Amino acid sequence: MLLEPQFLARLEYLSLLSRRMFRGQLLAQRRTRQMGGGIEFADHRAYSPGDDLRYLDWQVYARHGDVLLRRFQEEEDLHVYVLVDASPSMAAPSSANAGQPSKFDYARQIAAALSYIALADLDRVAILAYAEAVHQWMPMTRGKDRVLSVLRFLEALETRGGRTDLEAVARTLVHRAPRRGLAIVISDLFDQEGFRRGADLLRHHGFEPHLVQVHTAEEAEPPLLGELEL
Amino acid sequence: MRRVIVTERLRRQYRQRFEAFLESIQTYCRGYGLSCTRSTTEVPFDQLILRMMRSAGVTQ
Repeated sequence: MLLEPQFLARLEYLSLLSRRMFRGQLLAQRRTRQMGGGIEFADHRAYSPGDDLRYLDWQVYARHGDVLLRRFQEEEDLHVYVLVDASPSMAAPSSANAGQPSKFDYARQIAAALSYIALADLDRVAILAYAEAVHQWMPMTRGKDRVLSVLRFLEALETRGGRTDLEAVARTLVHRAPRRGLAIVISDLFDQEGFRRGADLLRHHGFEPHLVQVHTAEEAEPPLLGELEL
Repeated sequence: MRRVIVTERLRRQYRQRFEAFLESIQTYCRGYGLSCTRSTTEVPFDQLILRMMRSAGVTQ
C-alpha cells in the first residue's frame, strides 16, 4: 500500500506544496538567538570579554560609543515524533464503502505523508506504534534518503495489544526521546481519559502535541437497526 | 458475543454521545491551544494533509 508508485507520487506532490510545514506558524517558538549561524538579525547584547569580535556592531559603536554584539535568529533542528495508534479499535473497517481504508491504514497513510514532508524539510523523524504501551519504535532518522525505510517500517506494522493507554506511551516517550519536539498523535482517541493525561504529560515535559483524530463514517452515523450480535 | 436490539432511539442516543465525545476533544484542544485535526476515513489522506497545511498557512 505505502510503497506503490502512485502513493509515492502523491507524497512527493504534498512535499512540493509544503513549505516548512512543521515550522510554519510555530517557527517563532523554536528560534534561538545565537551568535552567528542564522542570517536574520534578532537583537543586540552587551559585549563581554572573550566574545567574538566579528559580531561587534561597529556602526552602533561609531555613532553612540556602545560596545554591542549583533545576535541572529537560528533555527533549531526539529524533532518530529509520529505516534501511530495500533490498538485493535483502529482495525475497524469501513463497511459501507469497501474501497475505503481502515482507520489503521488511514493513520499509516497520514503518518507516511507527514514523515515524508518532515524528512524532505531536513527535520528529524521518529515513529512509534502503540496500544497499551509502545510496541515498535523506529529510531530518530533524518534525510530524504530515509523515506523508504520509514515507509517499510509503517507498511510492516500491524494492530495488536490491548486497550490504548496514551499516558503510558507518553511516559515512555518522555524518558526515551533524545530531545523535545513535536508529538503528532494519530488515533481514534477512544482512550478518552488516557489521551488527556498523555497529552498533559507531553506538554508538561516540553513536547508540543498535535492530535489527528480519525474515525469511520459508520462510527459517527451507524447505519444498522434491528437485532445485532456484537 | 452479545445480542442487542438497535432501535432508532438507541441510535440517536449513540449519536449524541459520539458528538459529545468529539466536542470534548475539541474543547480540550482549544483549552490548551493544541492543534487538533479530525477526519473520517472517507477523506483522502492527501486532502487531509492539504487541510492541515492550509490551517498552518504553509501551502505555496
